[in-house]
Amino acid sequence: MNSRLFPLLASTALLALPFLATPGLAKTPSPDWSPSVTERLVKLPQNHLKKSLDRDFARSPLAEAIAHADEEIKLKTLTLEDLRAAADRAEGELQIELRHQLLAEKQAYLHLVKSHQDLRSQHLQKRKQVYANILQKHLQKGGNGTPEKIELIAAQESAHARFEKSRESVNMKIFASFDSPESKYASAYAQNLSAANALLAAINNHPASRQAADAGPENKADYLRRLVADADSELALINQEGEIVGYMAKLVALDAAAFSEQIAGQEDEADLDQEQRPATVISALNQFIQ
Amino acid sequence: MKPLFRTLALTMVLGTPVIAAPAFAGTVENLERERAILVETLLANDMTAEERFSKVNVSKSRLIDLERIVLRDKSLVGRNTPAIKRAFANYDLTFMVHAAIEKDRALADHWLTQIGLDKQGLLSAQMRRR
Repeated sequence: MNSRLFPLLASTALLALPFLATPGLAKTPSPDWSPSVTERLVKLPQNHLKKSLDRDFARSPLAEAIAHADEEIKLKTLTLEDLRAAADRAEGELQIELRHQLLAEKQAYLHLVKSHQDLRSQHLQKRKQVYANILQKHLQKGGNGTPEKIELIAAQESAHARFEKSRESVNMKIFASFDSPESKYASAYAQNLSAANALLAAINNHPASRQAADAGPENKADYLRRLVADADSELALINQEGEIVGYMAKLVALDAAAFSEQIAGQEDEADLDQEQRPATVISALNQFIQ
Repeated sequence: MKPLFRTLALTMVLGTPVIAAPAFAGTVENLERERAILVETLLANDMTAEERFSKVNVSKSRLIDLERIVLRDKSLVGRNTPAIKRAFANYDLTFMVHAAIEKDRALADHWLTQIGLDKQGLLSAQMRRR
């Protein structure tokens, strides 16, 4: 056995080990994103809600870390391609060295992918939590209350409808029966109402308002539920990707084991060849000639 | 030292209204109060018909505004308090003036009907000792 073989085998074994214990990957203090469910966020129209959260996330250290990890993965993929090409071209000791390096780089690649997945998962979990909190607050504020509250709202709506229905005729009768001038409240209200109607028309014609209407017929609660479901499906995909990384890791471990076996086999074969080959007559020929 | 005390006292006096929570009456409470005054006027037996008529007219014009303020008050929507619940439980009693005008009835007549006393019942009633 050659002395070069021991460090190589040892390092190969070390390469394979971390992937056998899947959750044992390096734990470093991870970058964070702390979105808060503010009143502003709860009140935002549905098409602005996601954009606002996206903007908040883009400014966070977590987004920076994800982008950085993504860039590193791309670079590592290029490194792997280069190393594979170089290993295919190389021969002998250099090939062994390059193959060993390729395995090490594969391991580093898997580490990167795993940490990238962890960061994405962290992001999606937080996003999901934010959507769930907004949904909860929205439902608390909205009509989904107790039966008593629903009953009260129905009574208020019917009172308002009755008032609106009879307002014109009541106004006419008041105008006909009262000789007193219109009250300060009534005249000020009429003035404000015309101003409010003008503003309401401007709001309805505003491009942002039309954009909100184009967002779809679903209400805010449904939209938030869909966002939560989207986050869940993305998390499921990340879990699936995690399984793929696990399989890749197993493959790297098997490659490493096969590689170490192959090297060990080559070394043994070489030793065996030296031992079994009989000394030929020709090898000593030079001794005779000289 | 004296100017300091004066400044402190002045600060306390000026600061008190800010610290003390303002005791605003709600729109429903204002309506209830004015409605109580109207009912009291309707039931009062110590005033002449003219006095009653002019007082009822003043209350009526006030109540028209107050009823509209309550009906348009968006802050009351879904506020499940006993006063608000009671107010919206019976439109004819709470928004008495609007309901009476809507039904083309005299205010007193409308109120008495709402509390279960109609003209026939009152005319057929007999005075007895209990």
